[in-house]
Amino acid sequence: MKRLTFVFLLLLIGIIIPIGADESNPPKPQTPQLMDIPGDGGTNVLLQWRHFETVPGIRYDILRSEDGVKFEVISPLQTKTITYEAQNQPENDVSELGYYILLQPQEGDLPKAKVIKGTDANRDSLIAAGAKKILRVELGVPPLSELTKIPNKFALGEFYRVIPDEKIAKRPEPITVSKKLFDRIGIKTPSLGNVTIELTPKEKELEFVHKGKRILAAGEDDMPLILKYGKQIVSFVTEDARYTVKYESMQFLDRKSKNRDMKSGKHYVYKIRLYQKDIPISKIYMDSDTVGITPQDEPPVVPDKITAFYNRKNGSAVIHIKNTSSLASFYDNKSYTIFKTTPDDTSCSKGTQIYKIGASAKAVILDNVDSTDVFYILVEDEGGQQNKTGLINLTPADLKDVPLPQNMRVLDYENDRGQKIALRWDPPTLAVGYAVEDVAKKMMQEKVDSKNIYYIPTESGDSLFVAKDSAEIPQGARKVLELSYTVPGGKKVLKISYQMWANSDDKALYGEFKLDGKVKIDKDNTGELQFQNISAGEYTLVGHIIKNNGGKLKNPEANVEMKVDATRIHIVPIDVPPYVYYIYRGTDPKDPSTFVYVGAAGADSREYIDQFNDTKTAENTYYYIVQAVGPNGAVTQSDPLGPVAAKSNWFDTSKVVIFLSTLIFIIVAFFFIYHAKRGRKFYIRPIAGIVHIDEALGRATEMGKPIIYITGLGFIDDIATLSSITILGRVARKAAEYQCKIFVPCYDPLVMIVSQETVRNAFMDAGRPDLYNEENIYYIAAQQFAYAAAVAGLMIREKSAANFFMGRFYAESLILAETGASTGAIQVAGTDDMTQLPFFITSCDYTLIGEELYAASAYLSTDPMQRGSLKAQDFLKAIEMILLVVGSLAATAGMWWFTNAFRALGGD
Amino acid sequence: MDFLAKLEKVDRRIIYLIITVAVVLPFFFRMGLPITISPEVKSVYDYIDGLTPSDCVFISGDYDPQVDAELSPMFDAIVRHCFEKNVKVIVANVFNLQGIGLVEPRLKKLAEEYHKVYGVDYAFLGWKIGGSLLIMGMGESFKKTWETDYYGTRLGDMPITRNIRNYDDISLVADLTGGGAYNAWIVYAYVQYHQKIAAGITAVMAADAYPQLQAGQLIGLLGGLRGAAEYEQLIKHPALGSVGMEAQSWAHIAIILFIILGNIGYYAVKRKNKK
Amino acid sequence: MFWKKKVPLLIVFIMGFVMAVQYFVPSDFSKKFYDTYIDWAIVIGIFGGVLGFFSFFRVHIHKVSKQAPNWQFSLISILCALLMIIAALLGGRGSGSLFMKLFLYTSAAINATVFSLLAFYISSAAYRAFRARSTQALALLLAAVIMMLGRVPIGDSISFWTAWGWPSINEISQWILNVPNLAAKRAIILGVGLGSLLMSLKIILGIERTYLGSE
Repeated sequence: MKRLTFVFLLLLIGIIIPIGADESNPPKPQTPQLMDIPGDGGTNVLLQWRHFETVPGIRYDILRSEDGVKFEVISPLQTKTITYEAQNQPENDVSELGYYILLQPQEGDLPKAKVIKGTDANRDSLIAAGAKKILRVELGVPPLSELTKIPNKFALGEFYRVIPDEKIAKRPEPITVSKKLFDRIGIKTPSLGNVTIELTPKEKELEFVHKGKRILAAGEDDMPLILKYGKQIVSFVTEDARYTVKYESMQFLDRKSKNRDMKSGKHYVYKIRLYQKDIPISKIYMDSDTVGITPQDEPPVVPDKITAFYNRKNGSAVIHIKNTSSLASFYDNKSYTIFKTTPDDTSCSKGTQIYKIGASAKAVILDNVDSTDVFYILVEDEGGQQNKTGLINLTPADLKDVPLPQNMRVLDYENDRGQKIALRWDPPTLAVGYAVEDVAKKMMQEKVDSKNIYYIPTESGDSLFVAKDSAEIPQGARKVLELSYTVPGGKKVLKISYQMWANSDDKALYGEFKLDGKVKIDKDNTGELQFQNISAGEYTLVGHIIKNNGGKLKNPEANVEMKVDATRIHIVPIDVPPYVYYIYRGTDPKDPSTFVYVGAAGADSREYIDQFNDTKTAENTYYYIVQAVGPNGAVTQSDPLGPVAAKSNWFDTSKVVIFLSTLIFIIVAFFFIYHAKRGRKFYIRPIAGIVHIDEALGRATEMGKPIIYITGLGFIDDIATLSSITILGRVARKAAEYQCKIFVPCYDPLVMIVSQETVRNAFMDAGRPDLYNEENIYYIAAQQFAYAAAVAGLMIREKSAANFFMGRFYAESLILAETGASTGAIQVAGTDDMTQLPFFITSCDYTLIGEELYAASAYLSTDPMQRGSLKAQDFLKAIEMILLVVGSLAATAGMWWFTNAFRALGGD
Repeated sequence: MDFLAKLEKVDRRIIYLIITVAVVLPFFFRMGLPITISPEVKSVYDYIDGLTPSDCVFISGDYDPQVDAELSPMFDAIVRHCFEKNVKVIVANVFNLQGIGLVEPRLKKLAEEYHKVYGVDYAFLGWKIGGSLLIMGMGESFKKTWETDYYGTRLGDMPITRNIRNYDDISLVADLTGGGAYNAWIVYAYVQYHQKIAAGITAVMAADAYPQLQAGQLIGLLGGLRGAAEYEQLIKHPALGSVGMEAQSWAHIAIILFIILGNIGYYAVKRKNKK
Repeated sequence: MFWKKKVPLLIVFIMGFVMAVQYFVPSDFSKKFYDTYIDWAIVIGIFGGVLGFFSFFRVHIHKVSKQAPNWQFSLISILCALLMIIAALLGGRGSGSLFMKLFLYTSAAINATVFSLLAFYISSAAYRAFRARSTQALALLLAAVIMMLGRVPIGDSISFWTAWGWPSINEISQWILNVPNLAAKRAIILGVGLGSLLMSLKIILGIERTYLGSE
């Protein structure tokens, strides 16, 4: 044994020494390029740099300094995980192909890589220009030891190693086309809809394949083909260097935030730091060169897409304003002021201000305007700088009216912490679509090789062509070899898909449909229903929305009656009106410039929830405006809705049922405890397992062997673990009285502490504090099977007379119980884990099932209050059973009012 | 009589030995027991069988090494079926980082066997942080959500993923899980985008998925090793699942025999004591 | 007495009551309170980890120094624990690090081995437990046999009676699982729910305080 330990020690040292070994520094990271985001308040700087894939590194840190001396780390950025490549794969050896790499310097950037095939004519001039012969290409990253052998150079270029495979090129590549294409060339197929065709290989692809293995730059040949047969090259290896060309574009946006200030006009210096290793005792990193920038507060950027209509119907104008730039979210634009002017005011300097709105507005309606009126917009940013658009002319149009949502209301969102305001509107609507399909489908295949059909892919769509002789075959056409399609069977299936456009006020639960008398309900609200095996014909489909009280929603929009044509295969999609609602939130209903755009809702929604980030801002008073926007640009705007403020709610009404049951429970429990305290005796049915706890203890004493008590894998906040500890208290007390040794191996340290305390107190109560040994109650490991193995070992070594398994157990339960059984110990188990009960029942002498575990401490106690609580539990169980039976009977009889009554109260 | 009484107390080491033999032998000698196909497995098979080469199946290996023995045979069987039908396969580990090491080598090996080209016939996306957010994101934009495959290639650069916009271009999601990951797929991909979902679940957890199956939220279900074995039967390629199933068959029979012997012994002793 | 009994009981009572109320209150204050509580629980849990660490080393070092029986195992335990700590300190815990390799190729493998022992334990447990001692035991035995056959293909192979339209063993086992098993399972779960509620109430009210020592 001693020799074994020595060998083990040697092994340990052997493993530790190599970890401490030093590693080389990573190469210097690329200097980042800085960009001051235009149009912002001078508070955003974008850093961009390239991370070449052969640069070993785990992470970048971005460092910023105000004086160029003291840098602070502002953020880490993970690099992509590198996939290492097996070295010296034969297909990556390209020395035979005779390619040369030549670097072309570029002003202010890395050199560009050119890969040229060496011929007898150009070889000498290539070498004279400094080109190097490529020996090998790498498609992944070689291991560090390989990387450090030759210098690593970086260049730009996207190259592919192409190894074409004729087998793949000739493999049929089926394409799905519409049946209509066949109708057009006069070929009838009995297909349901689409036809899959198999074609001869593409000429172009065969040509590409025949050129053999080579290196291609991106775009040098047909790109899809390069991608199909090629793999992107990470680096080229020549005799004396590695040229890495593949990189990952890294970027980081430094912006003003709560933790970090950034002021316009102030100079900032940045650098990036690449870590190769970062652990407490060893940090290996390299910094890039530093670069500086002074972010500016630029004048505002004017919106670049403005469309304006003059609505001939009501004499109003609609102006749609949009910033299409991807940087628009950084703009610090504050407000738009609309001026009316004359067409000759080309410099936009005159005119009268007619409207002022917040700069997040998407559309503006101007009433009482003339079709010849001309406007411009003055944009002002947060810093007070201004900019103007050009002149805006109105395009006269007949805009269709867009309906505003009906009965729109704003209210505090219920049962939340006060960070949401809800906008709700009517009517609740049942939107139904359906598909008629054939039931019995069969796949058919047909060889059409002899029919001379050709497939021609074109930009505008695919087409088919029948060639009478080979001269007629168009360029790029491919012969159709085989067709496959599905053919219909007899009966049809009607697949209904529906949506309930409703909000929580409507209390909609699910859809109910009737097809010529046959009723189907979708109780789980999946949005789909099927009527199977119906014969072809016309049907009437009636649909309703069922509310949570079991009734139907009454309004006409929520009740659908439609004709279903099941004579043919077709799809009727759900029809969503083409409107969108823009929602704005403001603080002053009279001043449109206080309103900001918060989001959009589709015409299929009946609720919009405005979510705030914190409760404080949500508690202010707000007003909302909704714009309904139609597809042709028509806009209708609502009057301001409100005032409304989000409220922090003090009772969750969705938990009423739980609250009431808890209340009933507590009242019943107090009733019995009170009576028990006043001396009333209750009958309590005996539980076999509990009686045997004492028996097991007695036997251990007789045999003079220890007992083992396992509190399970639960944590201290598990009820099962707490129950286990209360039983441990009584077991330990008896053990102390009988002077029996007790082991408590623990899985969780906190459970260990509480167990130690409990056992110590029990020994003190029994008057034997001298027998208490804290080392017998110890921590093993928070790993399931390590724990199981250790406890099994303990059982075998100590030959315990009695084992107790009380608490929460998982798959280790049987390992513990079977080992205990094999040593011949008396075993008592108790758990509320359903899945482990069978194992304990088979291999333990007695098992406390489920709640018996909780009840055990009360049974063992003489305290009348404990006994009273047990009686309360039995009484409540009886109530539960009655409810269960009534509920089952009601549901069986189809009376949903019983379950719905609970739902209506707010339960689920 | 004495012999019969001995049957009541067979040494546990003998039991262990016989169980070992029952488990190990089928790996060398195959009986080829017929496996009846359950409807929930058949429906997954039928669905994939009806797919064309322009379809794409997304498989998510949401499992870890502990349940590898049960779920990897399912993975093999489904991928085999797709490859045989020339259906495109995209594999990812949406919920489980540890799944990468289990799934990726298998996929590569199968692809080699069927001469499939990476990026054209199949792709591997690996794991990305996000879980349910990824499922939601895929409904909006597949390429934006995943950006690159496991090896760093942009999805727009690969023929297989170039034309996948969202769930509209994915014919089936097959989720292999030892837990409840399929529920997230149902909530975010089925309920919102009506994506067809099939699940492969360990035997212990499979019972929990039947309500979803009945509700039509799953098109089918492969439960435990048996599900894998059934699928292997359907694609006529018995492999690990079928062998495992035989091993399990023999182990169960051995246990049943021991139970019978034990009871014979028990009655023998009882009768003896009566006398 | 006051510090060891009354104060802990008071803390349990107040926290138990407050957390119960918190469940029904969705307000901002209540949510913040809950977040704070979770933070506290995590911090206290970490202290527990430290205690477990000391307990582990104390027990094993004591055994080694006393040369108690099997003290060599304790030495190996200590060395292994130190090895993992040192490996994590020197090489980090990322993928490919020594720590991860040790974990995957020793710890995980041993765990899987112990887990697979279940196959043997279950067979010996079944052999001993399934005796037809009574009618109830006979019912249990039959159910077990049907389940075992129903889960594997051989169950269907021997279900010759399906030719007469009777359910196969597989179907019977599915029925056992879905009907009687599920019913019993739900009954136990309901009992457990009620029992744990009552246990919580007893702990909050201080009726159950064995975990604090004497009565």
